Amino acid sequence: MTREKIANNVYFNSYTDNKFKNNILVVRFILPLEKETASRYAMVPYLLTISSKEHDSVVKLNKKLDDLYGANLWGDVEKIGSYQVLSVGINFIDKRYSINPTEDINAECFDLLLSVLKEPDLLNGFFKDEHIDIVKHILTNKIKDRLNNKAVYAMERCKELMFEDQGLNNLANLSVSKFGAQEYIDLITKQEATSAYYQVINKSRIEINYVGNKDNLLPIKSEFKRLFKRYVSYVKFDLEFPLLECKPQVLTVEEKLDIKQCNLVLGFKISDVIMIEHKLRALTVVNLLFGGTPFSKLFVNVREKMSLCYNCVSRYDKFSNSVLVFMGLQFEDKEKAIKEVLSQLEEIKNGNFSETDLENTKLTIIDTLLRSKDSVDETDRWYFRQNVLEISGKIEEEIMAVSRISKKQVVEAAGTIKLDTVYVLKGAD
Amino acid sequence: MTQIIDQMDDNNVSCESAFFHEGNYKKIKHESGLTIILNMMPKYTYSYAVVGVKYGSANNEFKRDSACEDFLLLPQGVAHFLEHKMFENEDGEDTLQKFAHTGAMANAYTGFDQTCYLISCSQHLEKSLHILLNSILNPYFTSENVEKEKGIIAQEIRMCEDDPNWQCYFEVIRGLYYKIPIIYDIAGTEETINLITPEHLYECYNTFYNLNNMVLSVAGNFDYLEVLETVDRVLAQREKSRPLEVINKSYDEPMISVRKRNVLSLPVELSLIKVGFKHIPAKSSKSNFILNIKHCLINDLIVGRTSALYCDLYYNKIISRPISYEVLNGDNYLASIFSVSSQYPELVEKKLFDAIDAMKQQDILESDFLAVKKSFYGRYVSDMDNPEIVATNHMTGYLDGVDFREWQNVIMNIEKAELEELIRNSYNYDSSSVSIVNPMDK
Repeated sequence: MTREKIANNVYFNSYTDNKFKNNILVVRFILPLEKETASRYAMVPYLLTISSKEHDSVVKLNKKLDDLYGANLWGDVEKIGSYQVLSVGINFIDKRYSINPTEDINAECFDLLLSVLKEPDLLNGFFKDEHIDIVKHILTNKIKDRLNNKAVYAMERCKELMFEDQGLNNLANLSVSKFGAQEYIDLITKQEATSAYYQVINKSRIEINYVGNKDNLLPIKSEFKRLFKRYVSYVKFDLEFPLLECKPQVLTVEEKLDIKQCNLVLGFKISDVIMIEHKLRALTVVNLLFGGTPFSKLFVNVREKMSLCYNCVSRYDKFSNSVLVFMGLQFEDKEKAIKEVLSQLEEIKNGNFSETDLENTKLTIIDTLLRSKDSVDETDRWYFRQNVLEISGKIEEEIMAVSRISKKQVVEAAGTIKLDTVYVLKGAD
Repeated sequence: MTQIIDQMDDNNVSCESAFFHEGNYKKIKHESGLTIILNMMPKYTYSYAVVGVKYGSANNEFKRDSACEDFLLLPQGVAHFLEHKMFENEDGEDTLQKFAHTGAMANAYTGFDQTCYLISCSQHLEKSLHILLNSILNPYFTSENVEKEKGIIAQEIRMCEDDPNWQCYFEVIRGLYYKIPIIYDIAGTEETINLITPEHLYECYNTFYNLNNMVLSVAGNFDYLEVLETVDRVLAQREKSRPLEVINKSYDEPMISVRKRNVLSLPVELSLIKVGFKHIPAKSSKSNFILNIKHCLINDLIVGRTSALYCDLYYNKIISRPISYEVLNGDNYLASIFSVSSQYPELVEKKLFDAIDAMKQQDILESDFLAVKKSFYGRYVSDMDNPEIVATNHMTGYLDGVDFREWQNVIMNIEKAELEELIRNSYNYDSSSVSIVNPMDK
């Protein structure tokens, strides 16, 4: 991946390989996640991808996309640590595969993405009322949809409880939802939404990623340079992903829902003074040894030996410096499971795992890294995450670094993991 | 050792295209009975290998061979249970542990008509393939390991019971079909899995896990001779599989649906709706493949992102995301199932039926027809970047009796009039069923 700073706080990154039949171009705007602004900002990527100045309705824009061989112009909101990431992207097949050789899908898709960023579909200077209403409806439904997947819901609830009022500063904090809150969404006016668009364009750290065919790379880079030539970020900020303190006592929260299975989440925080690259890598290894593979401690013991659950996994989030363990089990087995999970973590902390287990876990990480090189989406996401963590280097260099991690480093990293919150979503009695 | 019997086929079918270069594709019938499909993608990093067995949850009633008088009916969930147990080995080391040494990611899943075992890896494909094939060819079921699995599967069943989407899906299938055993949950129920014994598993294994009933499909970056050598090595000690003699029970399924509507209340905040239409399956595998793609194109015309229906529902804030669809296709069944979440499921239902009626009244616009075709073609091209999808499509195609490489020709040759006829005949209220999941307080 080639990385270039093209303006203050704006980076253009590209990874080209002509083997790809698909291309992806994504512009990501990164801002502190604040309760007051989260909902307004969250509207922006959806407003920008619903229509454009030239294709000024949902159907007109979608007809254009169908004509570009079903290209996908998309908006998305995600949360990394205490930041909100607003993405506007386009995925499309490469022009070499068009049925009619005179069609230049690549150039048209680039133009389309640039045009929605540069000249949104405004009426008298504001986003259209009907589009504001549609996007509010989209956000409302996304918030409601959360409950449809009980595991995702339980993990999000656990994180909210872990990070209540914790984060970068008083304003940006980790317990705020990426879409903000319903009461804020309901009140947003078209003036506020439009001003949110200008704030997003002007106040963010911007990461532009292109992965795909080499042709057209230079023209697109110069277009972006021109677009951001006058761009001056009001607030200069470096991204920070601080370690947050554990609660003095483990918090246990039980909530009820009319469900058959008990969803149990154990939220751990990472407590260490300095986070440096090799520690992030060592923690990735700890997570996989703990509950990230079918030969991990949790899978082998909690699922296979004790038959307590079908799902028993751990997830490490580098941006919030936390590890979550999720299990779906019978409520009666809860205490037994918690005890076993904690004892398996102790095993790792005490170095009770073999060199073979360690080497196999590293092999899994390396295999996943290599595999990501075959997909434009995964390559894009991998480099984006590395870039915001300010870890430079290619996938190949990362592989070398992973293979150098020692047992001592893994044991040290495991020692920084501490239980903070236990969240139980159980069935009604 | 290895017999390559399918080169003829390669010449007869005109599949050479930007996607399947000569020399990068091999289809082989191994002397053991196993069919092997190899799609080399040399510039890619990883390989994906999948073993497909033509046996799934819907093959629950069968005669081992023509000498059997009666059909054997097994507890629901046996195929899925068997899949869970196939990674258990006599030496005590689980297959997933064995993969740990090669770095491969392994998994398995059971569908209505097939069971699949897969690995994906960037290195050591031959070693991983060796482990995978050995594991599938050497079953090891004991009372103890079968009992142990029941707790795990029971939790998987409960997880599905708490999944509103899954519940909504099975209710629409139960609303469409009377007899075909796709109406039963793939994993069975806690009651039926408790009835399963090692003998049941051996019975199914010996009947269906016959190499003549299986396919190995590999796509990605690998040396095909090395893959063939691995297969030869694993199969060397085995006797050639006997010809497949199983007789699956067939079901006389009326075209009319079981019920028009079903509503469930579950802990959700936003309702879900699925609308299914039962279609008449084609007689031959090849026509079924074509029919499947035709239904996809029609469904795109009905609910796609440029349809009048989508525009209406989206602008009126009845839906907030596109309506998705699935063409459910298997032995003797074919159905389209539309699905979306909405605060107003009844409105979605009414407007969907109205839109279909309106489409029946008039011809499809040429521009709309070309646009959905182009977009559909784009989706296929996009999938060709992914060894996993390529290998899976070859496998499914083979088990369904078709050559996946023909997709491009099939799409290009579909005529507008064929779709117009199909929508008039195959999307009828009488053969439809609606399934809604509402929040508990609605």
